[in-house]
Amino acid sequence: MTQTLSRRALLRGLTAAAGAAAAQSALPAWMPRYAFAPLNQAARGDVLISIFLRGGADSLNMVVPHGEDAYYAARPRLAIARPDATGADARALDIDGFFGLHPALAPLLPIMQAGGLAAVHAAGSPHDTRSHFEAMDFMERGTPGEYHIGTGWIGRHLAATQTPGESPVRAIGFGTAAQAALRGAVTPVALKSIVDYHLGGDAAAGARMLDALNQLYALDSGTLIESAQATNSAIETLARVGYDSYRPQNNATYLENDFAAALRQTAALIRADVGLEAACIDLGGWDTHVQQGGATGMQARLMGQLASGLASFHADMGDSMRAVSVVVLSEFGRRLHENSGAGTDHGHGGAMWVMSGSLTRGGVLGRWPGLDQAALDRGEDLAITTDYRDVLAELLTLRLGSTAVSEIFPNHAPTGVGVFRG
Amino acid sequence: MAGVTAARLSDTLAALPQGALAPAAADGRDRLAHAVARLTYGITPDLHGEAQRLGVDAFIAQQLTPNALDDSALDAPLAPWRAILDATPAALFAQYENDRDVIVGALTGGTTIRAMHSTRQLHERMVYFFSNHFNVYIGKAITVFLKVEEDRLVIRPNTMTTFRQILGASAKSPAMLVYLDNARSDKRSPNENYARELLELHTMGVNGGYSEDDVKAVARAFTGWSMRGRTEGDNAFTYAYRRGFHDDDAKTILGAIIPAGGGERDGELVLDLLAAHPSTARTLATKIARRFVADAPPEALVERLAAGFLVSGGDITSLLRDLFAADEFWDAPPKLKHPFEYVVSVLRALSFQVSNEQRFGRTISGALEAMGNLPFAWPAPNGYPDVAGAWRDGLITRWNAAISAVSGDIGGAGMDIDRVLRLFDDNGVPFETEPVVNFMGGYLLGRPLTSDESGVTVRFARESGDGVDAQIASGIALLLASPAFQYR
Repeated sequence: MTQTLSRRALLRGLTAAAGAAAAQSALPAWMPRYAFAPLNQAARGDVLISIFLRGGADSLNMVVPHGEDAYYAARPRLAIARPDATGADARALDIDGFFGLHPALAPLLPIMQAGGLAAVHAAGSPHDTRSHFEAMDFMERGTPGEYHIGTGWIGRHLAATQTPGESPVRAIGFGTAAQAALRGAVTPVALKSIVDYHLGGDAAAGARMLDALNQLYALDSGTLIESAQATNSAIETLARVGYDSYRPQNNATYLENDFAAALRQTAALIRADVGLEAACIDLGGWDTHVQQGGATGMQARLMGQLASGLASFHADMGDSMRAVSVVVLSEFGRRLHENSGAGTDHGHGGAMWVMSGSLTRGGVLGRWPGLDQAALDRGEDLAITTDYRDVLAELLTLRLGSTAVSEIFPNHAPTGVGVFRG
Repeated sequence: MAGVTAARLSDTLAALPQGALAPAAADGRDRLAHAVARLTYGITPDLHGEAQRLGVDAFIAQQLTPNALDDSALDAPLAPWRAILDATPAALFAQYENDRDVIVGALTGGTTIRAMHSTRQLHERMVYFFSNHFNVYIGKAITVFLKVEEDRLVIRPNTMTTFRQILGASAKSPAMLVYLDNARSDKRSPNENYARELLELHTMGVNGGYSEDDVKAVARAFTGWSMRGRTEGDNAFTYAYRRGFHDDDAKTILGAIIPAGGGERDGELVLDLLAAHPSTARTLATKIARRFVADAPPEALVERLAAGFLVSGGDITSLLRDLFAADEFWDAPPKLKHPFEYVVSVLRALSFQVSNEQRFGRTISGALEAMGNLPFAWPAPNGYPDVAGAWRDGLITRWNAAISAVSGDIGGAGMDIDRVLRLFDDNGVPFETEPVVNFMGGYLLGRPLTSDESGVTVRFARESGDGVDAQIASGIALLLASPAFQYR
């Protein structure tokens, strides 16, 4: 063989410095500063954080209707004891004399009592599907029962407020793919970790490669042009965030899990003022058909993650919660009656949560339909008295400055629910 | 004179592999390159010559009869994983109860090795397909100990049999029984999880024409289909029918009456009913066409495939044969690789060989997890999504994988550089930047680089250092990261 290529030489190739971080500017962007907001990032309203509990969260054990005998009759093994129960290891934490929080949600109680957090009970999507995938799809696209609109509710909001020269990180979907709710004219950035979001190799080689990739992707005959452009711009913007030196404020500490990491990174992006307007975060594992657990166990552990993450974020944001609204959704609630495997099957009505500096009040909102047989959907599931779109429409209008709710939720005339203040 | 020429011409044509003179497809690939890209995990130096020798029709025919293909080349690379991959759930549980990562490494490593080195490439693709169609998430409960055996006994041997056969094997698979909770379902309050996903995902489809009452009745029919517990010695974690759990009353399912007293047979009757249902044929035809043709497969193709599927009694190989005979297959638009497909195609193209299987298992599981496509790790029962929208946001992880690959060492596996160099030799490519970049472009993409692509890539390569080796490595990295190599 006459060729001179050696193993060593190929190794030397492009990647001599693989793994080295890209060059960063001197000051991390999240550090407090007297920022002059760039003209193209004029604040439109609150930053929206949409959290999705995948699998159909059992809201009846999260916001416990401890004033309902029917709840205890239907769940001999799973029910959370009344706040005044004697002999129980763990009891519901009373909110208003009728509802109580699951004990694993304890970190949320002070926020709720201070008016920063509310649960809208018996809320959900009016379509009667019990399929996870159909229900999630309807909910995230914001079009229950409709199959032809491909974009998501947040994606349509961002598209409606799009102006030239937007931030490349208006929308972030945590995970390896952006959530369906974000689909739309704006290409969201899918992100697992800010610090890993750069090209391997030394900075100069990386920059040249990005340039070459830009040219190649511009020639693409498929569907990758926008993704490549969004990736390129996001690399540039996220390098300025300086996330590896981000310190949460107000003594907030986040747990070590993906959900907490997503919220921590969201907090850093908000503080860095890079133009983030919407973030989607998933917390999975709520499909509790067997061994759901009661005061402790599988669902309690998930609730612990949820509560800890939200409480840490709330503390970290501090006064900045003024300009942040968090909404927590799940595709449906679960059956009132527990099943033979000490779990619950797919139900209908659930609860949605809102955490914001601009609620009318904290606590449990919405009209409670009751758990009498006649009041149940199909005679077995919590009924829905609040269309989840009504809450989101109010959020969009009062907090995100939207004037396009009729496009975001077509074929739906929203009813005021009195959850948010303007 | 004219006769002699004609005779020569026909001799020449007869000597050519079939399909060699077929017109190029719309994307510039010839039929052979298209078939290789769609039926396999990507070109390799060996396959490059072998496919040319066979021609497209013989290549497809071979892939449709995988058991006739010698796959002994897989024995050596797979050998280190065998102890785990051949073990029973009881043995795995005993040994690795607190060391699950070892099993994940073996499952991922073994799956990747097979995709890299098996000659039965279409079979491996179908394993991926059915592993997702009958998705089992190894993060739930004890499924990771059960999935190894399910992969070996339920999915792999049945991917190219009949749908009823693999459906039946899946229904009794301990991994599925645990994952979708049927193992815990009893007549007092049947668990609906398996019944619902069986109807919605495995067979009829969400709009396939069943009702909530059907879900409940199917759940009753499967009560008692369960699994022996961990305390039952060598029989632990095997399928067991529990008579005491079974609801033996009559049931009405999709209008058919299942009489009382059927016992375990109730579930089999339901599977018969579902496997033969036209909605199931549509579900399978749609998903197979989406896998091999396009995210939104042409309606006419789906209808033809579904009709053929019903006629064949749900024969999977004949469904594939019909598919590869369809014009729509040959005119298919670009189909974005899943990250697993992308990573394997990179490793195949550069002839990577595993040197340290444990380290490779860790490397590849870590990389695929970061890319969101670790095998058997999709939590929801619908399996990894098969449309571009689910994967196009992850470009940066692919670009970094390309950069890592040309370093020649990805942790536990290295590029067989001599094999790559021999590829250049065999094709008369001088070891200079421009010829190698252009040759590798054709090799990787199955068509010549356009002049724009060639221009950008050669320029980038030339600006990447003084040595021709560094330039070539950079050029290859860019080609692997380029949009055209993201598609099958």
